[in-house]
Amino acid sequence: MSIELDHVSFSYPRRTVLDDVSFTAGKGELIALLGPNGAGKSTLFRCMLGFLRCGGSISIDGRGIRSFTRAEAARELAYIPQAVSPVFNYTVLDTVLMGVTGRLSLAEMPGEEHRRTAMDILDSLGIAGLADRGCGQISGGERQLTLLARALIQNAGILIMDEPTANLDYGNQHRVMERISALSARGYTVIFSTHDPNQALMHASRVLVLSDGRIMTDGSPASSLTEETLSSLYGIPVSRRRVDTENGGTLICFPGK
Amino acid sequence: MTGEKPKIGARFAVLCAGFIIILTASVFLGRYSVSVRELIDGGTSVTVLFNIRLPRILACVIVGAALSLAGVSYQGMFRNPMVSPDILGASSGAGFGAALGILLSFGYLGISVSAFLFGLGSVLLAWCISRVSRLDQTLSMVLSGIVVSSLFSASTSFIKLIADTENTLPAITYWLMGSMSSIKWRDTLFVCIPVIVGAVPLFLLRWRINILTVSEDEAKSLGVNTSALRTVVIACATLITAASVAVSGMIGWVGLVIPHFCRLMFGYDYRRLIPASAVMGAAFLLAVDDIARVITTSELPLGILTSFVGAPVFVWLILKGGAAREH
Repeated sequence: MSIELDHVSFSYPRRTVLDDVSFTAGKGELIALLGPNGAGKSTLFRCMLGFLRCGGSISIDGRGIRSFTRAEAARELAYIPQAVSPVFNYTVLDTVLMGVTGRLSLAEMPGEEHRRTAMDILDSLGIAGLADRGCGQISGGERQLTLLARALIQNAGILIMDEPTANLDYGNQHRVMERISALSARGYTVIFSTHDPNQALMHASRVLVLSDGRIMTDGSPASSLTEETLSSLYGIPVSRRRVDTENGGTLICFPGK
Repeated sequence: MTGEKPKIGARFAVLCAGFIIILTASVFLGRYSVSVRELIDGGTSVTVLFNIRLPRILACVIVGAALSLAGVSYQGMFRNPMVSPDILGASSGAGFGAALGILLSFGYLGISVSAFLFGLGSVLLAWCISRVSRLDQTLSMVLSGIVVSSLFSASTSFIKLIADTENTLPAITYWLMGSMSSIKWRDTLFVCIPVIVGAVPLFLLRWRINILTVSEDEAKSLGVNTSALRTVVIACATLITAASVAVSGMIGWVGLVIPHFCRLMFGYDYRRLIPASAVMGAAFLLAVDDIARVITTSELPLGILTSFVGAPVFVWLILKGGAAREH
């Protein structure tokens, strides 16, 4: 399952948001999308999901995104937004079941089989015990995992995540990223946006840096996130060091010299 | 599984049983008392029952269920539990239509038809404005609903101002307060067709209404054609609201409050919420109308009584519901 963007551009009447963005995300890749506020990350995602009409072309396994119906697109692409506190307090199980809607006929409801699949997925994410709790009564991390479960029941090969760890505490950020890494190891194509370069250095297999609607760098975390790139991207001096860890070593960055 | 599902099933059984008890009691209650033996013997009782009481009971069931259904559907669609069926102007449009009909002496059926058409027309107007607008769809719909709604309210006030104060003005005022006292079979038939036409799609699509309650982008990504679904839900909810208001006048409370208490008792899932709201709305309006028939000889308008009866009941439910959540 791969998604290919070819010379994608998008602009509002007076402002260009995306300018000539091209890349291909292949099976099993875990791509971090970095860029300052207003760089066009969310717009890029909305184009990829087919919500915005953009210039250039976007295709999934060679088929143009515009030829998909909503239900067809939901079988290929799943979108995981930031977990905000919901207006209507659905249970975790009902929230996950919403993910099967694209495969149901118009008046069809999720059945017992769907419920079992949902419970299996919740179990695999370690939150089966929360199935009957309301999404308003669980922690932000658990809510994010619920949305991840909802994306997984869609059975789509490509997962698009808009800042999946925003608003999560440090432990939950790490737990959610570990789950996401595990999914990409299982063959899912994952693209997530983040404001934390360390998260990209630690977890991503590839990093895209977006600045003013253009791709600034595209490559491995080590080659994309250099001190120069990070400093110019965020407008502050950023240093990068290699630190030794139990399993070899990892790159970390921090503001300052 | 925990005990949550069976508990909700039991509650629904209690609700349905309560509805059937109220329905049965309604047949025997009223100024003209009817006993079971009289019914079997035939005579005047049967005439009273079939020509006056039965159409009124059925109309209460239909209107109560319809307003509650419309309310719960609009609330999901606007992602806002504070929304009532008149959000898009269906009620004030219908109110204006009725006032105009009374002013121009349209006759009984003419007034209902006028109310119904203006109710539909006002929502259509609000919907068209929101379509042309470049604002966010939900926001522009709420805004144009407010504009159209206040326009029709002002027009109704204007009609009241110029209406003859001896006959026309009291008739308009009384109509707007909502009443079931003059319901005949033709009204019951008039309201039942549009309500069924509107309620069936809402019932069939009830799982999908859940999806409309999450953010627009999420709903689309889950494989739902949100603008088509939203249009269908608006059309159905408006149809049943306009038809209800056309025969019963303005009856507040039901569409706003009943859905809340259904959520307290049955959770947020529209698979259960839609049938539960319909039954609870029907039971509530029927009970209030029974009280209107029994307690007062001059028949208090329903629009007033729904609040008088509803407030204490629902204060009790608020307190109970709050306690239940902590466990």
